[in-house]
Amino acid sequence: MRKALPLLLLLAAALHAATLRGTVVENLTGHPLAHTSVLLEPVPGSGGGRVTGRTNRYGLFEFTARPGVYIVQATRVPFLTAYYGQKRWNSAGMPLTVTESDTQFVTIRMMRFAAINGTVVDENDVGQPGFGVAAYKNIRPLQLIANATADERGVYRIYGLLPGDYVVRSVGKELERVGYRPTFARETDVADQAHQVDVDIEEELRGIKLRPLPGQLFTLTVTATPTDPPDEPVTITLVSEMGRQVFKSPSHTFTGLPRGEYEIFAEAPTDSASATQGAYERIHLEKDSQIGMILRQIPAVTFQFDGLPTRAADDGTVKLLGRRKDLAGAHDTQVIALTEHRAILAVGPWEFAVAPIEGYYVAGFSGMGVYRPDKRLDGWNAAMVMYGGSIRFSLSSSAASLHGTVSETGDSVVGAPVFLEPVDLEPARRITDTYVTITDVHGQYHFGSLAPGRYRVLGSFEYQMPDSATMAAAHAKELQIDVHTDTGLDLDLYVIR
Amino acid sequence: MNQFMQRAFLTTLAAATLHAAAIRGTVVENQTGYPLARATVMIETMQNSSDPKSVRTNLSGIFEFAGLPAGTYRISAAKAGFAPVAYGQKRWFSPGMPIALAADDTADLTIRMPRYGGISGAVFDENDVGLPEHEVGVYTSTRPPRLLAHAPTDDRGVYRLGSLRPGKYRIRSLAKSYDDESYLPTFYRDSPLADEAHAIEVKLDEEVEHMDFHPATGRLFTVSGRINTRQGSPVVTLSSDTGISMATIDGNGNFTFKPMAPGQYELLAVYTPDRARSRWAAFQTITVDRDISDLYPNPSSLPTVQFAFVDTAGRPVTMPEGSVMVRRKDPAAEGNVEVVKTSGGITLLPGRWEVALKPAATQCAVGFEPADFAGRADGWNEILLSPGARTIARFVLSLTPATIGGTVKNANGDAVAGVPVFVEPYDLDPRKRIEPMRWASTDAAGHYQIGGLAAGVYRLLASFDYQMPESAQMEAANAKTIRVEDGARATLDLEEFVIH
Repeated sequence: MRKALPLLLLLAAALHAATLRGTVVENLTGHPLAHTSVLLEPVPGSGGGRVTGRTNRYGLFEFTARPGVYIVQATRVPFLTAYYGQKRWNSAGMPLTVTESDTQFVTIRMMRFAAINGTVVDENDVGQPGFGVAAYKNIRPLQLIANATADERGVYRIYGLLPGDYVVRSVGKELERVGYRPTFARETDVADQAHQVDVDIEEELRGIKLRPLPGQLFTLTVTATPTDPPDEPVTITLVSEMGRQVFKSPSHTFTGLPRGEYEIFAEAPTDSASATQGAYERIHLEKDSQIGMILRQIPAVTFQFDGLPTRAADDGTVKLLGRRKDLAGAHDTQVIALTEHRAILAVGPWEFAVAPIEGYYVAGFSGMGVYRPDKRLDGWNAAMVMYGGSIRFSLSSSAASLHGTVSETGDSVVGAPVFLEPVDLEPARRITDTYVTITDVHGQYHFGSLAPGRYRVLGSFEYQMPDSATMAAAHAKELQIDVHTDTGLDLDLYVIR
Repeated sequence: MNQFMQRAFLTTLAAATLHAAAIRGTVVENQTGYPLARATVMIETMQNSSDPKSVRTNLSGIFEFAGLPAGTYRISAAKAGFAPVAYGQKRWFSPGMPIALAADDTADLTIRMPRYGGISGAVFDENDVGLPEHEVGVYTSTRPPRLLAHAPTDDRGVYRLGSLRPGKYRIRSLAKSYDDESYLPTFYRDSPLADEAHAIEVKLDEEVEHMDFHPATGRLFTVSGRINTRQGSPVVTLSSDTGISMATIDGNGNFTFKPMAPGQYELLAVYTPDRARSRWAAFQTITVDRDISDLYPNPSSLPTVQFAFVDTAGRPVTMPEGSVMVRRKDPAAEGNVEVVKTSGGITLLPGRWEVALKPAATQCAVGFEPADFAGRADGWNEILLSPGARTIARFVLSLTPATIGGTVKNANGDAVAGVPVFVEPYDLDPRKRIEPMRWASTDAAGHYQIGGLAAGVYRLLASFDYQMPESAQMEAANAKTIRVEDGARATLDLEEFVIH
C-alpha cells in the first residue's frame, strides 16, 4: 500500500486498535528466529505510534497498534537488519497499512552477511599457521573492513562482509626465521594488481589463497613514560593500515613489522577528573627502531558553538559527534557528552561534526591550530587533540530547506525514502552518504537545516543508503541550494524494473 | 698455516669425506605429500650426549647431515603447525628408531609430518539457528575436567578447537546471556554434568566434526560489588572451571561482571604495582547461586611465604637455591611452574598455590606443613594464601632416600642397553605428581638405578616405545609395582616392554 490514504480512514484509524502478527525466519534455512527485536515505525502523519517487541521462541510476534502506516523492521545479531517488503538486501522496506478490520500476518526473512574463506600457504602449497589476514574494500585509499587470523592449518575466514568488491591481504609476520611482507592475493604488493574478490549477500566465498612474499621486517620498541602523575597504567596502541595492536604496558616491542607508515598512541589516566595524559607520534619505519614517549597532560577540549544560545551546548540542542581517525580508518562515531562546554578526549587525530539542528547549518570551523577554509563545513572536520585548546563551530541561522511530493504515475507515494546527497562535500567527510527522510501520508518530504551548496535528490524504495555512484546511476535530480531559501522540488518515484 | 700444514689438513679432510657417513632425506606433509620447506631436522648421536645439531630443510623439503662418523643416530623433525616427529616412531610421542650407520653408509629418509587434531561443530539455539560469539571450551578427560583452551563461535555459530594433541577430551559450550535469554554451560552432548560428558577421541591429522551443542537455557546471575580504589584501580577477575572473566570497574570502585552461571568461583583483585607502595591484592571464594551485589573484597598487601627445611629429627637443613617450585592453582587453568628462591621469603598473589621440592638424589620430602592432608609430600602440596598472610612452608626431609635398581632384559633374556626406565609414584594422587615422571637409562650392561625416592609404592616400566607414558599406558603395559621404605636399596629386575 503506497498510495495516500483517504482522510476518513485515517480519522477512523486513530481511534481504535489493530493487530499485526507475523514471523521472522532465517532466509537461508527458513528456521524461525527467536528473540528477535521487531520495530514498527509509523510513517509521519499516519496516526500510528512507535511499537517495539520481540519474537517468541517460535519466531512469532504479535503487536497491538494504532491503525496506521508502518515500516516494520527486524534486528538480530549477526543478521542484516531486515524490513518488511524489502526487494533486495539493501532496499528500503515497504510501508504496511494496519487497519482495525483485518489482522495481517507478515513474514520477514533475515539475511546473513557474506564471508571470504581461504588458506595462507607457502611456496609448496602447505598451509602456514598464524598469519593475520585483512579484508579491504576495494576503493582508494583501501578501507580496512575486517580481520581474521589463520589457524594452525593456515585456514582463515573473514566474515560480516556486505556485498561488494574486496581485496584480501596477509599481514607481515616472521615465521621460521623468515620475514614475510604484507601480500595481497595473488602474490603482489600492489593494491591495483591484487585479485579482486566480489562477494554477494549470504555468500560463503571459498578458496582465496594467500602466499606471503618474503621481505624484511623490523622491530619497534616503544617506551612510554607517564609523568603527570607517574606510575599510572599505560596503554600503547600501534596503528598501521593493517589494523591496530593494543598492549596494556609502559613498554612493548612490536615485532614482524613491514616497512611503512605507523602511528603510535600512548595513553594513561591522571588523578584529575578534567584531564587525561597521552602522547602521539607518526613515524615512517624502515629499520629496527626504538622510540621513547613522554606522556603529558591532555586537558579537556573546549567546544564553542557560535551563533547558538549559550546554553545550547549543554541543554541537548547540540549533538556533537566525534570519531578518532588513524591509519586503520575511522573509529566508530560517538556522541560526545559536554560538561560546561568541555570534553576529555584521547590524544591524536579526530574528526568532529554537529548533527543537524533545525534552522541552522555549520558555516565555520576553527581551533586547535586548524582553520578550514573549505566551502562546506557541514560534515566531518579534522582536528588534532594535543596539549589543550578549543574548537569553535560557527552556526548560521540562514539554513536552507527543500521540500516536495514523491509520486508514481500521478499518485503521491506514502512512506517512500527520499535521499539527499551533498554533492560538493567529499564523500569521506559526509556524516552519512546521503541524508534520508521518508514521505508522510500525503507523499510529502522535507529537509531542513541545509548548508548552501550542490545537492542530488532521489525518491525510491530501491535503496537504504545509496552512495554517489548509485545516485548518479539512478539519475537523481541535481540542484543548487542557496543560503536561506526554501526550494520546492517534486520527484517521480524511481523504480528498477 | 704453512704449506705443509695446509696439505696435511686437506688430506685429513679428504679422508674424512671418503669414509664419512651421511643421513639425508625429505620432510613432507603427511596428508598431502607436499614437501615441507624450513622444517627443523635434528640429529642426536646415541654415543654421547652432546648437544643435538639441527638443519633446516630447503625449498624442496630436503635436508642432509654429511660427514658423520660411523655410529647410531636418532633423527627428529619439527615445524610450526605440525606435530613433532621422531623418525621411525611407532606412534605419537614414542621415541624414534635409531639409525645405525657404518663408515661410508648413506641413509635416505622420508619423514612424514602429521598435523595436530581438531574438534569443530556449532552452537545452535532451540530452532537450530547458529549462536554467534558463544565460547566453547575444551577440557581434559580427567576428573575433574581441566579447561585447556576455548574459542568463540563465528557468525554462523561455528567453532573450531585446533592444535589438539592426540587423546581424549571433553568439550563444553560456556555461559552466554542475551537480552531475554541465557544459556548455561553445557557439556557435549547437551548435559550440564561433567560425568555425563562424552569423551571425544582426537587423533593426528583428523578433524572431529559436527560436535554440535544445543545449550540449555536457564538463569545467569549478576555479580557486582565495590572495592577500595585508594591503592589505584585494580583488575578484578572471577575464575572458575569455565574460564576467567574480568569485571568492568568505574572510578569509584564499583565493579560488575557479565552474568555468570551458577557455580563456585574465586575472586581476585590485583592492583598495579607501583614504585612507592607495595603491591596489593584481594581474594575470596564465592558461591554464585543468586544475584550477588554485596561483594566488598578487602585488599591487603601480598601474602609472603618463607621456606623452612628440617630433617626427620627436626634439625634445620640448608637447601640450595632453585630447589623449590611453586604453581598457582586457579580453577580456570593450571599456573606455570616457577622456581623460586628458597631463602629470605617470597611474595605471591593470594589464592591457592601448590609447592613442591625438586626431585634430587640426596634427599626427598617426607612431610609438609601447613598441610590439610596425610600422605606423601614428595609431590605438589597445596597451601591457601590469604591477603596479608605470612606463611611458613616447612618441608620435612629424609636425608636417606630410597633407591631402586636392577637389570633390564628382553624376551630372549639379553640385557638391554640404553632403555629408559620410568618410575611412577603409584600411591601419590595423580593430580599431585610432579611432571615429567622420573626416569633413568640402563647402562651398557642393562643396569639402571634411580635414587632420591620417598617411601611409598612405585610402578616401573622399561620401554623404548614411550617418551613419557601416561598412567593408563603403564597399566596396559603391566608395569611392575614395588614398595620401598626410607633408606632402602631395593632391587627390581624388569623385562623390556615392546608394543607388538
